Amino acid sequence: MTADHAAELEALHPDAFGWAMHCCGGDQSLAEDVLQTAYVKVAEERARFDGQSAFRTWWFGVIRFTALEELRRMKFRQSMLGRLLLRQATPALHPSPAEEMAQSERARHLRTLLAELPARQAEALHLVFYQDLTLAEAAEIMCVSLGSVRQHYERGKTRLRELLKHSPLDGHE
Amino acid sequence: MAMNEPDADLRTVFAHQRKADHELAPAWNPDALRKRSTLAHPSVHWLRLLVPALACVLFAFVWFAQHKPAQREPSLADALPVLLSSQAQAAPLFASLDVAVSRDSWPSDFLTPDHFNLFNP
Repeated sequence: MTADHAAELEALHPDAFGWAMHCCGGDQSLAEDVLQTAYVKVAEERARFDGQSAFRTWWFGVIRFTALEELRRMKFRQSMLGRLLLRQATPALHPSPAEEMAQSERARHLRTLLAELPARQAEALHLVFYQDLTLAEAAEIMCVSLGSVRQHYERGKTRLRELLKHSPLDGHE
Repeated sequence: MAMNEPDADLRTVFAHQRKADHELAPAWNPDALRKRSTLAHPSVHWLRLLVPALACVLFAFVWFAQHKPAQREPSLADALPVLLSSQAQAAPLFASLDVAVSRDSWPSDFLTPDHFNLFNP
């Protein structure tokens, strides 16, 4: 990993954390672990930037993939077979009460509303409005076509506005 | 991509969330690129292979136990009864027939009209 890439990772760190939070459903500790694992992957060159896309797009794709890996493992651990084989109880994917208090009420409420959207729509909205990416960049991170992401984006906007109309954020702060 | 004016409301909403997440983000640590992952990955991978492997072995065992290979069957030549023994080969094929019967007359001549019976001069 070059010094330039390390500097880019540092510059993207806050937004990368925000993306990891979104991928982990608002679970802060899980988001931190996922982000840390993604850093280790880069350090061990298990994830290598090949220059075929923008660095940010590639990096967010790594975080997304790492989060999906961990969520699958958690799902297995929570399954009956997983509990039988591992003989342990695994907590469900929820932020702890302390973490919930740390997050602002407004941000938590928005996350709750986004959780009511289909995953792809919420992802598209986050990447475009939160991360300020283009639809093409969002499509690359989500591994879907540009047409698909545009559809998710438009439907997500409509749906989120409906939810905000019935449950505005202003009353939560 | 140019944002439409109506989307400014959503952008504002997400901007608040972005600001809140940035406050929660852990401080950047250069050692983050050298630390080991903190995710617990129990050695479950071999377990996930073991159960299906055992299931395949058990299935194969039951399958072969129920479908035993058939006993070796004798060849067709050995299975057929003896039609002609080698001792009979020396004897004429139609031994019951009278070999003195000439070719001009046959035992069945009496069954046919005379004009069908050929006589050599």
